[in-house]
Amino acid sequence: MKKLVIAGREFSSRLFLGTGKFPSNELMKAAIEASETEMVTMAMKRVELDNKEDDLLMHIVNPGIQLLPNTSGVRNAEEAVFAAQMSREAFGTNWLKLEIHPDPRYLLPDSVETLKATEQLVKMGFVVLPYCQADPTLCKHLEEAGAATVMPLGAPIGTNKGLKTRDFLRIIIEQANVPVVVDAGIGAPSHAAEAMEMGADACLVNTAIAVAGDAVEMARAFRDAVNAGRCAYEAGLGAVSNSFQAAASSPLTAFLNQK
Amino acid sequence: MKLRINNKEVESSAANLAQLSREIDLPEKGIAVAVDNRIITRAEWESYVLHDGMEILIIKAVCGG
Repeated sequence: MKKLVIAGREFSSRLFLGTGKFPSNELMKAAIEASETEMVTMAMKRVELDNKEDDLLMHIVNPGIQLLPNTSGVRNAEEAVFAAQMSREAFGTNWLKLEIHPDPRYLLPDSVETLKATEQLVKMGFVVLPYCQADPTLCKHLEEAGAATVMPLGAPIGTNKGLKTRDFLRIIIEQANVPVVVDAGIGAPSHAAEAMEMGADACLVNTAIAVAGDAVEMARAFRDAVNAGRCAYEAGLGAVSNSFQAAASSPLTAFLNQK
Repeated sequence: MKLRINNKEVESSAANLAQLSREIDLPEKGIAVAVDNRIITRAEWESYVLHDGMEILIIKAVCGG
């Protein structure tokens, strides 16, 4: 399997993990290890002065893992640029999952603000991985603006519905000159495998692993699915027939009926 | 002196940001601070003088996808 390269950094794993919704930080840490991921997302929030919570970073900081702070909670490009600078100061990384979804009901990314923020953040030296609509034209614009990847959604965040946008993902994958990471909506290992077989460069998974009955086992299942899907893509899938007839894979001539 | 920290009013005697961080027991890492919407890097904390009524935003990492 070829290594994935984003902004000059090599990744052996093509599975990125989100850290939301895990029942405990210990379980999250175990799932991260089991997944063999090398890229982990996290969010930011205001410190509560009278509530000293467990330190999240302690569970995820590891030299083999690229931290990918997100901008969840921002409503426009201006807020995203501010959040990005806070993130760089707090976590010492210029990598950023840019997400701008002002509507909490659907959490769909705002394409106009996402493009605007990408243009500004790239100029400020950030490695920008924008969460975006599965819109091939937008993805080209993001790429031209200097995005390190594009991260189109398969389905709305947290829905586990799979690749509802598959036809558009195919176009995005065909046209992209930066890695395509399918983000959001991936609810089962088979969805991740399908995305990878289509030629996606990586998948970002959170809910499906975090809320599984056994998050650690599910993390392994996604690891294997992403690897299998990628290997199948690199090996070259056979063509799908349009015919109603079968095409024999065993010799049919003269054996059992042979005289 | 009264400061607003993360939208909460806090009485403080800290002369600068570094003193405030000790006063409210901020962790050594994983924190970013902005005062009146301007990010103040950790290196600037010692020399950043606080005044009554300043709006201070302090963020940290939290789980998220």
